[in-house]
Amino acid sequence: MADVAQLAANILITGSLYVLMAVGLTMVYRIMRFANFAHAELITLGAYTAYSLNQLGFSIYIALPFAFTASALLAVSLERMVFMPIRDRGGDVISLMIASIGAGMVVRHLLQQVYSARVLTYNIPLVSYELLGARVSQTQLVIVLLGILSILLFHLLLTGTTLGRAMRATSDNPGLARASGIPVHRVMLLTWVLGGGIAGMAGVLRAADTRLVPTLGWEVLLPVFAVVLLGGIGSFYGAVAAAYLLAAAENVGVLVLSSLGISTGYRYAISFVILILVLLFRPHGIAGSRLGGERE
Amino acid sequence: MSSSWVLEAEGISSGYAGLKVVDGVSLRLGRGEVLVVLGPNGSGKSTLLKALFGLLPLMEGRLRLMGRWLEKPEPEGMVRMGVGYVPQVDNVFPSLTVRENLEMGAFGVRDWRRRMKNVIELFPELQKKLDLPALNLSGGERQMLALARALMAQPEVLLLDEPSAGLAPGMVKRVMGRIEEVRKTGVAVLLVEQNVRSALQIADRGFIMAGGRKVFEGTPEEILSHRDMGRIYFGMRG
Ligand SMILES: Nc1ncnc2c1ncn2[C@@H]1O[C@H](COP(=O)(O)OP(=O)(O)O)[C@@H](O)[C@H]1O
Ligand SMILES: [Mg+2]
Repeated sequence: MADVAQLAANILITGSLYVLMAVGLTMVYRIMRFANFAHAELITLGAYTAYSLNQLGFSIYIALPFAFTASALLAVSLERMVFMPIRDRGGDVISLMIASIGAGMVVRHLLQQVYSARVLTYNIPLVSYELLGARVSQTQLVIVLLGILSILLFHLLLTGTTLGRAMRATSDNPGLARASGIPVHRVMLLTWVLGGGIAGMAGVLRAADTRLVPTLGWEVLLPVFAVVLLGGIGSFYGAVAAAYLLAAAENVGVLVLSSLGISTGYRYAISFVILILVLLFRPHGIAGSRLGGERE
Repeated sequence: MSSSWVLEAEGISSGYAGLKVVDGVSLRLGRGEVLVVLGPNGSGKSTLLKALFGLLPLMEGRLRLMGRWLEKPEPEGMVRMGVGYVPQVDNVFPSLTVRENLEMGAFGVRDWRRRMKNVIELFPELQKKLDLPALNLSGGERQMLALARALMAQPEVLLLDEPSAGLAPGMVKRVMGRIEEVRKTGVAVLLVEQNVRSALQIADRGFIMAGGRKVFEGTPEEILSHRDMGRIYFGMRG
């Protein structure tokens, strides 16, 4: 019974972190229509921003809004200095993708210059709770709460506000959005701010739950892409479902691996396998978003 | 006297990436007037509309809106100055509900709900579907929604690209009837159509395009009795 409770808790924790790391990537894909590999560094920059503040004596929870701001600023700068100029010059999605890999690499090495490649940890109180038979740390509790909160807030934004509806309209059909007088550029910028900001906060939580290295975001990029693809590229609700589904597969898989005496270091191999299966059998993901494919 | 024309184009040429598709077309559209653009497939009708709306750059010629010459037409500005455009395909937001589609048509307008009530009076079939995603509408309903969405901005000029394409004959009639209603409210309509007879029934004037140029212009009667009509039109098909 306790094992089941712990398994459920672990699935919630992993899934919530995936949600936080994947929303931005899927939103940016939906509106800008390219796979942004520099999303990894949006995650990492948030984590290092919190580290600096933590060193100055601030709690990492106080640092969360600063991590949001730093990563949102990086996202907007990348859009303005790299992606927008490439789009304006008629660059295709491949050019944008390669540029994002390059830009991410530059940021990663800059972070390594500043903070070194050493493994760092935050100063956080090692508090943990016993909930319904499962043991969870304070960080993990915050991960789950923030994950669920961001799902609710995103849902409210997308359906309950004019700006959110304009975001959905723009991702449905950017040309018609322009023809309707929607300020498409402002909608894109908002997408970068939100997507980047949430990735930054996710980075703080991921680093708090594990450790902080310059490759923090790069290491999780693959499972995060798996979530995005599994959810149906660009689908917010699909990504949410996929995050918890993949988390379940990973956590159950880890139990199976360890019972077979195989190293649990293979846990990310589970996302690889699922990713490949999805690409083979459900290329449009579980939400099956045909919307993106209907026009060029 | 120029103020009686809401939209004037003088010798405009446009196209894609240096390829001239529309070649020196002039036109004038008066308040509450329906001007039909006819012509075989590929004659540049859609390209003409896109150029008029600022979606494609003008290679030659100039545009005047409500008596004002435009420096550099672009869609956001055109919407603000009272021009609505309904593309030939992909003319609704599929995952948004009918209500949300209409709201987007009046983006940034505080009293969009009041406008929606007025627009729905003209398109009562949308009333029951307000909370359905546009994706679930039939072809005819989708065209109605596309028109309604454009009307939400309260335009003075509507540019419509084949609003009856792919619809059953009964539905074509209904769509044309609705455009007639819209015109009665004082909106000027530039209507690109392939359903020649239905379109000419509601038109004040029309012109025929072939190979990117205007080849004939006249009243509906003149167009229908034009002896070269069949040759221009059907001879160049396929
Ligand atoms: N996006 C485009 N890029 C390049 N050429 C195009 C594009 N769209 C249309 N054309 C070409 O422009 C010509 C006129 O097309 P169009 O304006 O769509 O004609 P119509 O609407 O009268 O059928 C055609 O020869 C077509 O191949
Ligand atoms: Mg056309």
